[in-house]
Amino acid sequence: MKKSVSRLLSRAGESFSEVLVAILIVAMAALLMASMVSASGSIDRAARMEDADFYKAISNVEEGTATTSSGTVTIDDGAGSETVDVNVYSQDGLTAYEVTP
Amino acid sequence: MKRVTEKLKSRAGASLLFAILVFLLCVLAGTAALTAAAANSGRYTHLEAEQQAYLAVSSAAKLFRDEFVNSKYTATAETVKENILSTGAEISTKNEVKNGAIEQADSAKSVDSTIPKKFDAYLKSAVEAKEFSSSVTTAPADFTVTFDKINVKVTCVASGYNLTFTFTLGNSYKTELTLVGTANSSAPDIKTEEDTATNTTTTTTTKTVTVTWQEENAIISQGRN
Repeated sequence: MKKSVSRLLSRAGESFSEVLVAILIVAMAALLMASMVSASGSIDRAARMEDADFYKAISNVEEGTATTSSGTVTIDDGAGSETVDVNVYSQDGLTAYEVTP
Repeated sequence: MKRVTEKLKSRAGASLLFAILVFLLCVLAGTAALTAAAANSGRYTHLEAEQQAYLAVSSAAKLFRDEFVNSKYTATAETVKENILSTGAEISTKNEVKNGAIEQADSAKSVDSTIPKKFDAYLKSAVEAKEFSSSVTTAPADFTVTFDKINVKVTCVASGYNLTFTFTLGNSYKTELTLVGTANSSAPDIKTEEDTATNTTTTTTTKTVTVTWQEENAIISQGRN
């Protein structure tokens, strides 16, 4: 550690090859960081798009404007069960239903 | 010239150390950015499961609401009084609620009344209590609503014609539906029969009671616990 600090404070010069290698290392580091930041930006963009699609799906399913199909709901009161016909709304893995008028 | 040569041959300096330091910092910064992005994209999966649970519970609540606001309960409340013809003294009084039925409400959408029909016994008891000042003797039913293998538990607390349903999924995602029931009674129809042979007067008073639940008074409140 002492040697490192004394070297940092030293006013002594650098060899040409040493400087070239140092520049190469700094350039590689900058390139690596740039690609990592770029990748995280892509992941973040994809996550935001998924979020937007997700909330749109919730909205469509709750409003009943999503893909519609028919289904049945079973009501059990302990004494027996009966079925009720419903309209099923689903989008992107989310499902809701309402009674068929 | 000598100085330049000396400089070129010199092995002294800290540039490599500095370059490695910069490399480490760049790697740290890049890793932090990647970790944050990865953490942000992972939360979506958990949100979807939670949202589906909420949709299952709210759909069940809306199903109950739609069935009740599109139904009505009608019954006949009858009082039969027997009095002594000559003196008017009371012999007996019999109160009864009969012909109770769940039907489609007037001007309502043609909606299945499967769920309200299961309250037939409770509503008869509620009409008896209201019309004849007695106690409600029947408790409303509890339910399990199953759709796509998701079971929503429904419990009911009733006060007269007012019904409060609590919907839960795995003891969480609690949603409440409050229905306010209003009763309308027809004008009483009074028939009196006198029997001189037995010296009795029989007075029969009947009225039709209709219980409905208005959509504007149906409140669904959602909470998560």
